[in-house]
Amino acid sequence: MRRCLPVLTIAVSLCVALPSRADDLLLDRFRDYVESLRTQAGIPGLAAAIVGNNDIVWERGFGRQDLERSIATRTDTPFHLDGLTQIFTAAMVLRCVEEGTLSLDDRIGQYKPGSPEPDVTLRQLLTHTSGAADALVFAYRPERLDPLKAAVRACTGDSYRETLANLLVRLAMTDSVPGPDMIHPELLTEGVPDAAAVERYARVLERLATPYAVDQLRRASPSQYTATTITPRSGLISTVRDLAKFHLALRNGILLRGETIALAWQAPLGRDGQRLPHGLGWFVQSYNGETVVWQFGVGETGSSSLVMTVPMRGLTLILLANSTGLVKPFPLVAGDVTVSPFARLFLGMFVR
Amino acid sequence: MHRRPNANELRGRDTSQAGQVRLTLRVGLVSLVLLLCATPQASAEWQIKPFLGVTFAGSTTFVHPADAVASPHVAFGLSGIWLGEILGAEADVGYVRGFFGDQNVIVGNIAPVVGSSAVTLTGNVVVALPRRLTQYTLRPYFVGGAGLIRASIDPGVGGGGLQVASTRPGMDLGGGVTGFLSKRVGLGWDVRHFRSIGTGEERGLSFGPEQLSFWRANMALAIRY
Repeated sequence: MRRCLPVLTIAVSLCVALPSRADDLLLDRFRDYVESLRTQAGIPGLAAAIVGNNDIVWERGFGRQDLERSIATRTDTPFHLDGLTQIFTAAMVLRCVEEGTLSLDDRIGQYKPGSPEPDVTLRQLLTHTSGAADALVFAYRPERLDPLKAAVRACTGDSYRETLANLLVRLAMTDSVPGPDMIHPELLTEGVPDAAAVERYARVLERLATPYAVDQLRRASPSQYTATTITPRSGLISTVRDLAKFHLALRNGILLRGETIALAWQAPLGRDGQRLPHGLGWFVQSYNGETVVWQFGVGETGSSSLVMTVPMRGLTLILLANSTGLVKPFPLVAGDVTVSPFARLFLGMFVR
Repeated sequence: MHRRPNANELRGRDTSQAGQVRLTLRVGLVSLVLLLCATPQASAEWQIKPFLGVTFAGSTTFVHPADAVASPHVAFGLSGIWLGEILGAEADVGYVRGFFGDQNVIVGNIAPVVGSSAVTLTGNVVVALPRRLTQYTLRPYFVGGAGLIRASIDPGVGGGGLQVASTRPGMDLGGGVTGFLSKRVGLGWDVRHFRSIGTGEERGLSFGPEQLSFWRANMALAIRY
C-alpha cells in the first residue's frame, strides 16, 4: 500500500495537469492564429481576452497601440467601442425593465415626443426591428437607438451619461470613459463629472490607442476617431479587461437577472416565422446547434471591436482594435458572425 | 434591409456561383471549338508541354495565416496546344503545392498551415508569330483565356474553422517563346498572370470577397506532333 501511494499521487497529478496543459496548447495556438489574422488584416494594435464563467482565462495584447512611439498594445489599453456601446444601453434599459420603471412595450414617443419614430417600442429599438409585432422586419440602424437616452433618464432620473458613468463605477470598470468629451466638463450639457473623475478619465484617455487608417497594402497612417461624445450607440471607451468585468457581471447575475438575459438573448420572430438576427442589444445566432450572442462596433476609420459569447460553454471572446480591420472587411450587419475569420477561428477552436 | 439569408437564398447563391463557373467553362469550350474550326488544318501542329516553373508576386484575400502567398513556389503541370499558322488553342493545367504555406512555414511557435495548394485549369487562345517566319528561331506567342482556379488551405488541428477549399472562375494572360531543337522536341519559356474573376464569396475565410492572383514563369519541354 505504501508503495502504491506515490504512484497514485503521480497518476492523480497527471490527470489534473494534462487537461490544463492541453488548454494551454490550445490557447497558445489560438494566440498565434490571432496574431497571423491581425497581420493579414493590417490591424496595428489588437487587444484580446477570453472570459470564462468566473474570470479571464486568457488575455493578450498584439501589435502596437501607437506605431510612431512604438508602444505595445496591452490588455489595459483603452479603445473606442463604437457600436459595442449599445450592449451597455441594452443592459441599462433592461435593468429599468426589471425594476418596473420601463416596459419593453413602451413607445419611445412617451419619453421623447419629438422622436423620428414615436410609435416604435423600446423592444423594437433594441432588436433593430420595425413593423407590426407579427410582421417584424430587421434593419441594423444603430442611430435609431439615440432616443433611448430619454427613456434612461425617465427611468433613473439621471442623464444617460451619468447613468452609464455610475454603472462603470459600480462594476469597477476604472479604465472606461463614458464619452471622449468627458474631460471637457465645460462642454458637457448633461452630467458634469467632479474634478477627481475628470482627472481619472484624463489619465485613461492619455493611454487611448492611436487610431489608424489602413490601406489595401496594409500601410497604416494616423487617423481620427469618429465618436466625439457619448450616445446610446457609440462613444464609450474601454479595455478588454473592463469589458471582461461587464461580461462577468452579466453572467453572474450582478447586472441583470438570468431570465432577463435569457429574454435579451432570444431573437424575435420575423414575418416568415424565422428568427431574426438580433435580440435585445445583441445579435443572436446558432452555430453547430449552440447559441452564440455577439455584437460589433466600428468607427469610420480608426477603431473596431467584436464581442462574442457562447452561453452554453461559458465563454466570451473580446477583441478591440485601433483600425477598422476587425469589422469593416466583413458583412456583419447581415447578422452572421461567421463571416469574420476571427469569429470563425474562435468558434472552430472552442465550439467544436 | 438586412436579414439573415434563408436556405433558399443560400441555395440561390450557390446556384449563381455554379452558374458563373459553368459559364466560364462554356465560353472556354466554345472558343476552343471555334478556333479548331476556323484555322486551316494544313499548317496546324499539336504540342504537348510538360512544364516546371515558379509562381511569384501572389496576392490573395483568403485567410492565409502562413503569409506565404507572395513567396516563390514551385509550379508544375501540362499544356496541350493546337496551333495553326497564327492562331491556336491551348488547355493548361497547373499545380502549385504549398502556395499558401505548409508545415515548414513557422509563424510564432506553430505551423499555421499544414498543407495547401493552388490548381489552375484554363482554356486559352494562342496568337503566335507565323510559323514560316520562325522556322529556325524561337517562336513568340501571346496567350490568354479563362477557366478555374482552386485554392485549398488546411490549417490542421486547431484552425479547423479556417479550412479553405474554394473553386473560382479565373483568367490568365501572358506570353512566351518556343524553339524546336529537332522536328519533334523543343523547349519553351512562358510567363503568365492568373487571377480569379467575378465577385467572390464572403464566408469568413477571406478579408473581403475571395480573390486570388499570381504570376507563373515556367520552362517546358515541347513535344510536337
